[in-house]
Amino acid sequence: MAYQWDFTPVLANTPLLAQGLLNTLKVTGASLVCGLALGLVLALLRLSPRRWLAVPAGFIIEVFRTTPPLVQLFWFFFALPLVIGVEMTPFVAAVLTFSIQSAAFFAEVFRGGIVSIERGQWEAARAIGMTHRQALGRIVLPQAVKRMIPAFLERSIELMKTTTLVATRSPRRPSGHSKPSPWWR
Amino acid sequence: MDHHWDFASVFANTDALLVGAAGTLRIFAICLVLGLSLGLVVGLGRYAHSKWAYLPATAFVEFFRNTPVLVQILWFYFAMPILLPFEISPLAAASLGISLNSAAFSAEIYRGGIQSIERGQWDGARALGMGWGQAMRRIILPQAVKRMLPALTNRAIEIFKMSTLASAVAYVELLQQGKLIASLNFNPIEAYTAVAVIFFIFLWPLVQFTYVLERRLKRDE
Repeated sequence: MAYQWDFTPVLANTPLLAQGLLNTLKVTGASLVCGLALGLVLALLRLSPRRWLAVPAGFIIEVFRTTPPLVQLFWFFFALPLVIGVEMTPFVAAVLTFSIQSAAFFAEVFRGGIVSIERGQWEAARAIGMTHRQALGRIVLPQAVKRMIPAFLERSIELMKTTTLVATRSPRRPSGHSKPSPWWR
Repeated sequence: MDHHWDFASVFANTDALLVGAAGTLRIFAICLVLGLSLGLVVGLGRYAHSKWAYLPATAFVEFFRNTPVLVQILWFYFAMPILLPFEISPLAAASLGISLNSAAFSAEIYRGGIQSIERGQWDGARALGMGWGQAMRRIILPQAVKRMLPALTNRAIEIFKMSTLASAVAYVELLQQGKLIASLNFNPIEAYTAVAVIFFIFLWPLVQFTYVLERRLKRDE
């Protein structure tokens, strides 16, 4: 039995697929920007010598790394609006989920990069009279970022692929168009 | 807004959650074994000099690394039964998708580990008269495995989390049961929180284990 390949309906629906691709890019882009910013903050908190900052940051990172992205997505889609009493569009919920999720992973990349800069750089910065913040911003981070770029690219690619999970919820996502409706909708 | 917390209905459904956990563990075990062993084969292919091994292995890795797992699972479940004359169960489709995806990622880990073993080991093996296969099996791989263990354990953690994607094809695992409880009792917060907590309980020891492993291996180097 030879299957008759028929791509014409798919090609006829290119505007639909293009719309889906645009949504993917929007979610990925927004989550990437927020995730990077939040990840840097989380990493710096985690590296802080003040325990009351480091421990909660570490906890957030661990929680979002050890729970599956799909569970997080469901929680943010269904549970969060009830907890904080605010209705949110699927787009906002998705970006929120993926931002925090990728922030947890980015935080580990940031932390690894910053930790990998040898102590000598910190000590030299101190010797010149720089504060901790100046040393971080002018000496350590610029060197660390170079080492972290491959890991960042890898996580960004993972992020773009993870955005497909949104198809399990809203019908306005790329694979949501061709997927048959699950029984619980 | 004051939410009325209702964990009682979640606790009343622990049997459903246990069934889900069993399903999760089952697909995790299948995909771990299949993914890591197929990954070794593909990884060796990626490392090989012969282009008959290298090209198919590279094509496999590139394809399965550059497409989302969910898309692969859905393809195996919906598209493959039409092309091939046999039915596929949700477990088989999800296992196939996750295993092949993990094999592709593991292949790169294996390749990196094998490549990190210095040429001197290969030369020594050659000097003793070992062929490529013998050298790989007796000298190179045993040393490489030690270096690959943290990355492979990370892969195992990822596979465990990917098991939730099987709920997209209605395979009975933890998230699927969570959805069921949520829709029957109208308490998504408690249900999904419980699911998240269960995953955390399963995975946190594994994550701590990778940290210990990395520290121990760094000390040995």
